[in-house]
Amino acid sequence: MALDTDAVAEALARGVAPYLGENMARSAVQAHRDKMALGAALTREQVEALIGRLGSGLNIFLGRDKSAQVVGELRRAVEALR
Amino acid sequence: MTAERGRELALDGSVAAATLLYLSQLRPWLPPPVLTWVGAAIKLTCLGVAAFMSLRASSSFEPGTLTRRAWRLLGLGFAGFFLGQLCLTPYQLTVGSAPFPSVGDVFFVLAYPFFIAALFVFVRAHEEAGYPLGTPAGRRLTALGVAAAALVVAFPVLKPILEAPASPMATFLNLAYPSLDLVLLVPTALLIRITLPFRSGGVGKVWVALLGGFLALCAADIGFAYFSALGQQALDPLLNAMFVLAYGLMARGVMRQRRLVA
Repeated sequence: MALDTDAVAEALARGVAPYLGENMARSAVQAHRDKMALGAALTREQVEALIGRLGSGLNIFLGRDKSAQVVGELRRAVEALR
Repeated sequence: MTAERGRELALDGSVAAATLLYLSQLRPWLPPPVLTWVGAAIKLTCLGVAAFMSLRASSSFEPGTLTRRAWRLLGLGFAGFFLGQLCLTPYQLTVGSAPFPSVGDVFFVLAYPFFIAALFVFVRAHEEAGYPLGTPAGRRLTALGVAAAALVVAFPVLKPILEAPASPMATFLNLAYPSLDLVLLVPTALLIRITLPFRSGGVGKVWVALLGGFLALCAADIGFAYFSALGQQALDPLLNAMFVLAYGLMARGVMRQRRLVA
């Protein structure tokens, strides 16, 4: 089932905002959306790729364990949209 | 309240109290030994915490990554400052002041290349995060602007130091500290530019404290070398307050990083 891109982006930005700050969280998600040239709806693979990109950035600031934990929370937040 | 949060608040309170105590000495009222004990204890605590926690924080990152290397370099820099301060403390506590130059200066000077390298490696690591952090051209412009400003400041600051009557080693060190601080300002400014957009999040809070500490350290070091060369000691309490604040902010930044990755 495809997911609304705006809703996913909102959920992901909310998930990383405590770490990156609200503005950077939104900008980071938007930047990855633009780079991936995403449409209005996302497949499961696209969602996973978007989370992966955010996660590898988080890894630089939060380290492997914490970023893996945050990525898990992002996946759950997106699952809740289904 | 968690134990970690409690320790952070205790550090904040101690640093604030020691800073105010030094500032209040602009109109001396405390016997010097009290201030020396307080200053030595708080500086050693902050630098020890910063060194230990930076090295621990490095282990949160994958081996071989730039971030792991940067935290390790930063930890070694703090360890150098800690050892330098440790060499000065026995003199300060027994005879009231440390000799200059002393063996402590070896550790202080050696710490700078670690700090400078650490901050430049952080710049490279953060660029790799893939977040919208401005353009490489913008960062080059920032670096060039700060380097140019540092050169402008260097001449009036270093000239009286060069002309002041002192031993060759004292003159060398009095020139080395502010010069190294001015170099340190370049990666500090780059990191301020890079991390400012994160300021409302946990990552931003780490960097506000850490980079605030480096700015305070640069200001205190340059001021100390300049006023020492002019033979002015009236501002010593202010400069000591800035050193305490610098070390406190650095320790606070590293503690926040530790809490962030925990």
